[in-house]
Amino acid sequence: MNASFESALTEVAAVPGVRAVLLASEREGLALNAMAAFGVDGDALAAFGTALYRRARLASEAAGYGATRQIVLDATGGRMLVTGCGDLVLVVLAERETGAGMVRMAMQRAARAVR
Amino acid sequence: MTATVAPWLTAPLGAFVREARVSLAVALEPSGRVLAQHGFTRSLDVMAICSLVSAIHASGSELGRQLNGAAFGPLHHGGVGRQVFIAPARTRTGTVLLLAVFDDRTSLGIVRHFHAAFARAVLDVSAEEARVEPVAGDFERELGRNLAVLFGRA
Repeated sequence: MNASFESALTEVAAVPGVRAVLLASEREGLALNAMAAFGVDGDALAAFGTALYRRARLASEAAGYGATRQIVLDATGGRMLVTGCGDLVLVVLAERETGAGMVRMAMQRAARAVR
Repeated sequence: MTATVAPWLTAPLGAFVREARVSLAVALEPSGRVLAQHGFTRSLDVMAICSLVSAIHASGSELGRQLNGAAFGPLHHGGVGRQVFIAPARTRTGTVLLLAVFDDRTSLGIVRHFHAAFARAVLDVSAEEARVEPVAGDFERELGRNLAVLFGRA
């Protein structure tokens, strides 16, 4: 894990309302690095975030829509945002009121750092 | 289809297979006696696999004790197409080993997550329910009887 990615991950975690940010392997669904608030199950977030991304990526490819940039799961209690970075996946859990634009920008910077 | 000789395992194993999307699963005692299975069509396969899982668990546990001071936990082997996951789960009366075989339809993270749910479910089973009939002197006959039940020949 290089320093610029660590810094980018910290930047995502610092966005107000972000409860967890982690980097996971898409194939294994296991977190490689995580910053999570107390009470967030990082292992479950990594497993389900990567599974969701993988399904969406395959669906997008099957539909002929090309590469998947980002997935946003908008739920009543909060948001989950997932971005692919090669074989890795960046997963963010945020509160409902969090500014999605700020999170997405921070995620894009983090994804560029890890590529 | 999930088949079992231990009715208290039917729901936890069925849920594990369904939610984790594994293709094959076997629950067994550390001795190698099969308790439940999903996805196998030949009893000989189950018998051989239970023997191997039992041996792997025993040697892995002892290796852990020698090197780590305590038995190692779950074991994962990532193959090219298929992967294997072996993990113990405590019950009120002992231990159940779970073997799962899965492919790219799921992931190790998902399998681990639902194994934890399986472990919680079997620990919730009362000691009376979880008690499996002891082997009545003849392990081979008992194993054969369990396999016959699992594959509908009893």
